[in-house]
Amino acid sequence: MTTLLEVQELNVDLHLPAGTLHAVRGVSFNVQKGETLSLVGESGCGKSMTALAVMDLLPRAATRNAKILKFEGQDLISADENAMATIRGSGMAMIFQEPMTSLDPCYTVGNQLVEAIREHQSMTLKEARERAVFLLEKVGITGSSSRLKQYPHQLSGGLRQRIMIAMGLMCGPSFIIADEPTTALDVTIQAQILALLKSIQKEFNMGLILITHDLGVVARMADRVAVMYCGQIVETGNIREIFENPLHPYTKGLMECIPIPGKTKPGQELGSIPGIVPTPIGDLWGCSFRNRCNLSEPRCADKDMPLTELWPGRAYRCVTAFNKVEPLSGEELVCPKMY
Amino acid sequence: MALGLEKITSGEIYIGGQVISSLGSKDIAKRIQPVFQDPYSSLNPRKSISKIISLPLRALGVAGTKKELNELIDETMETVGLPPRLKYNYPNQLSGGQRQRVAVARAIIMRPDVVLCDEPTSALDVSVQAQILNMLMELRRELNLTYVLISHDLAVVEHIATKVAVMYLGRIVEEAETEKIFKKPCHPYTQALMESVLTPDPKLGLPETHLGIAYPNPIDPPSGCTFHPRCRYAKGICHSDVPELTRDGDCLIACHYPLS
Repeated sequence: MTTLLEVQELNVDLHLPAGTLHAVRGVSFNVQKGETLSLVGESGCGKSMTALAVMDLLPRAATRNAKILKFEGQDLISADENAMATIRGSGMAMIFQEPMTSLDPCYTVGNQLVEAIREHQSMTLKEARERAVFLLEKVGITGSSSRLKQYPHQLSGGLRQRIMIAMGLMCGPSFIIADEPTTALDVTIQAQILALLKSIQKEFNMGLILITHDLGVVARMADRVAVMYCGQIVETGNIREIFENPLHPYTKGLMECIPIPGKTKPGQELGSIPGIVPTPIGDLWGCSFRNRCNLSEPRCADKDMPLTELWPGRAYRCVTAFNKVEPLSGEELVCPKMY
Repeated sequence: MALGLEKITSGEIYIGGQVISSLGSKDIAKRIQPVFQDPYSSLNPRKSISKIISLPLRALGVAGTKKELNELIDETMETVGLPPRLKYNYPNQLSGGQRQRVAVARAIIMRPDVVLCDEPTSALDVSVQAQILNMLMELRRELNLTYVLISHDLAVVEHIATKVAVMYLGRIVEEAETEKIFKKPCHPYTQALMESVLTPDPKLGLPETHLGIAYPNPIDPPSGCTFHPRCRYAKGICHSDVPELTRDGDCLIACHYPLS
């Protein structure tokens, strides 16, 4: 496996009137070719900011710094706007959450699809259109040549999301960040779009970062998971490790919160995490989850809460986690080092 | 429509045996109250929490004296798990979960018969969703409420509902007890819905729904059974005849070839 994206000690600060908001704090991860890494967490935990920081699309009020930020061996920290513009689209692409707001309502779908590729590659309009039609068919849109003439408002949510995916694929990127790609969609459409993403990923051997808060989606899609809370990664592991033996109290809490058809008894009280997600403004110390955690001890407020690595790819940020952990039997330890 | 906010084209709605069109809007409001999807846009940002919660009482002119009103507000806030000290705060000072609690408090302060919950948790974070669901179930037990729950999240539906009606393109296609419908869906659409639920089990892959891609245009719905273009069991009659909602054992179903 080759490493596509390498991120070490990524920090993003937002400078707000109320103070400095530490949106991303010391996040490190790798993505390999053909692999899906899922960033999981609640709103405001910094998962989208992490993605935007990698793409260098942060809002103006934000500053980014990182120890290492490399894409296909190329350093992104020193890359200027021109170099980034080349990488964006052709090297890595992003599929945004809201297909309605991220497509331009004033241009036809065809216009928007063709624009991206003509920007990056010398291609005649005809060739570009052919590629667009080819990709629309790939994402399961029939009658695609007539679709090119339509405007986003003439399409359903599922179709728009498919168009977003096709747009991301236009220049044949090797890496895609999908930010909540199915949150705005119906359940039946969601399953279809996810299956589509997965098959395309396999076909082109792409690296994928899937950002979501839906544990169901994570379980069915990801190879590895990084759970984020308050700008930090609080637990990482491969998919089975996380779901079968969660270590961090927050990960456990999240799993207990969701009713699961066939498992939780209807009407029974659900586990819930008391309190609300704090806003990471100002000086932060200790474990950011300690105020909501039922295991918290005085030492949880100590200055630094380190990430404890159990073996390469499996780590958690907690001092009280008590589960006995061993690598799952029969599980090959191929996970790369996460931090 | 049930809230009397939209005019009925045809048909009738009954509440406690009374035809809704024979009731004035205030009488409807006494019997049925809504909890909306988005607690960020359903609370007036310029009114304090106590004003928001007590609005139904004041609007219907049953507020009583100031002292009584205050006591009732405190009591209702405690019922939904809000500390009464938040009374004089404004919605922007509250979190999403707290706002949804305010919306629920506003709905139950009248002690209505029916509370209409339109996707009550879909705008909330997972950890907060569980808090609100637990509260809704507890209120139902304590106040003997009836809920009409509108949701696309089947896990939530199975957890809370006693009876489920599945809708497709403006029609009910299947209606049955929750346990029955989840165990043995009869309509092909219900079956596809159940199959698309993604339970957090990493051993299962992505489901194949056999649904085809296009959701039909509701302005120009397909002929016959509106689900037939996406249905893997559709036969000739499904293209031409609209299936009636008929009783089949212990459920209602609108399908020419229900699954057995």
